[in-house]
Parts: sequence; structure tokens; C-alpha cells
Amino acid sequence: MNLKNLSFYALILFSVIINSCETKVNSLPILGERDFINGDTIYHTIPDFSFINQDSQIVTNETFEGKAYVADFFFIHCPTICPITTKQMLRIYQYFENEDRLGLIAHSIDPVRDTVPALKRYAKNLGAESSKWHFVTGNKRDIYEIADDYFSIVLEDKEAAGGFDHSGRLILIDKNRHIRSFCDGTDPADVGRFLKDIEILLNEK
Amino acid sequence: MDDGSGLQGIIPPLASSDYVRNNQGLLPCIIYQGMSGKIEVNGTTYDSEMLGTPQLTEFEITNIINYINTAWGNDYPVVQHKMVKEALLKCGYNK
Repeated sequence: MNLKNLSFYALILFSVIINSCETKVNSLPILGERDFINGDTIYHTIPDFSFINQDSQIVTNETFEGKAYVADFFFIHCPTICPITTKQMLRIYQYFENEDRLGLIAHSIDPVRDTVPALKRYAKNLGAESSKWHFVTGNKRDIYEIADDYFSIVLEDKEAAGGFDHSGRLILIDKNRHIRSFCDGTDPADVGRFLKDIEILLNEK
Repeated sequence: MDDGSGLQGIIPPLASSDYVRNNQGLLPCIIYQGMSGKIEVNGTTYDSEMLGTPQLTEFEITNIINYINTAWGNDYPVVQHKMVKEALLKCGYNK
């Protein structure tokens, strides 16, 4: 091969490398444990769920079909963590208000007091559209168990403020039920980074 | 929250709050016992429940009110411990 052809091919190779460098940076990993079975990678997946939202509508994984969503755990009478995390959820809600490919789900960990009417009032006061931001209640054991799958800690604890101990995590799930990012909902700077992660995920699709 | 702005529709603000400015005498018992029912703050009606903090002492409550009165641009007068103690005695404080 003569020098002219060599330079030509070197130029092509150079352009290809530059272009692939640009796209590689903007991608979120799939989080959680993974199994390797018969050469396939099985990623940590959110299991089937069925809860009821502030409009008495059943909410399941199908509710978020084809969408990404942000999940958190709260309770209405929470004096400390939840007001802060809900404020950050509101920030996410407003930032992506016109983005149909993103939903939000807030699970109540106090289903005894957080009835459907109580959730309806709470969501309405906050100004949340139920088709986009679901406030759900349901079987207590189901909610506490699925919190694990969302990497969130939820415990009933008489000594804790409000009676429940829980992390203020916000978790991002993609349309394949995989966890792609999470943040500390009590830290506005961390939520800022999380907002960017949501944008990256939505651009990936 | 740390900027005194509350949570829209659910938790009223403390920063520049007309309710705080006009109800200084009620603050000790509100902090101690909590409150519920409709209130209007800066033109918005709120109807949630605030939990009390009965573990606080009269001195801590005095300090909290004075913090609120002078933070986030608030310039309400400093309250005296005597006023706070008298108000608390009327709502069951007995430490």
C-alpha cells in the first residue's frame, strides 16, 4: 500500500475514533447485582407490583410501559426527611413536566394513615397531576418488600421521628425495569446530578 | 427546609410569613404541641397537620422562635423567655 492510501485510511480511522469517543461518555450503567446464566447477563430487575394511587386507580409496572420513572418512599406525617425529598421530587416533576416519557411514583410506607383520600388531598395540595405523579398505597408487606428492590430502607420504628425510619433515596428506573441511577433526595446538589442522569437516560432511548 | 420557603401547598413558608409576623404569641404552643386545621399564610390556605415537638424545653423553643424571627430576611422582634414560658404554661408545659 502506498503512502497516499495509508494516509487516507489513517484519516478514516481517526474520524471513526473521534466520533465513537463522543457517544461513549453519555450512557448510564445498569445498577444492582447481576447473574450470568448460559452466557446471558441477568440484571437486577424491579419485580411485578400492584398498588393503588390517589385516584383509586391500580398502578402496576404496565402503568409505566415504555417510560422511565423515578420512585421514592414517604409518608404524609413525616416531619423530617419527606418534606425535603418531596420538594426535590416536585423539582423533578416540574423540570420534566412536559416530558411524557418520564413518570413518578411515591410509595407510602404508612398505609394505615395514608389512605387514598389522604393521598388525594396531599397530591392535590402539592399540585401534582395523578397521571404523571402517582402517590400509592397498598399491601404494607408488598411495599416494604419492594423497597429493597429499589435499594431503599424502610422500617417501622417507634423511636424514629414520625414512627418510621427510611432513607430519602430517589431511584431512576428505565423502561426495562432496570435501575440506572439514584440520589440522596435530601441533598439538592445530588438531585441536580440526578436530573442530568435522567436527561442522559431519556436521550438514550 | 433550610431556606424557610416550606413545601408548596403542604407546608407554609416561615420566610416573610405574615402568619408568623402576626401570631407571635401563638408560636410557643404551636412548636410545643403542633397544630392542625386551616390557616392562611401570605394569601394561601393550608390544611395539613404539624407535629409538635414536646421534647423541647422552654429555652430551646425561645431560641427557635428567635431564629425564625431573624432568619431568611425576617426582621421580627426578638422574644423574651418570660413570654414563651407563660404561653407554654397555658398549653400543658410543665417541665
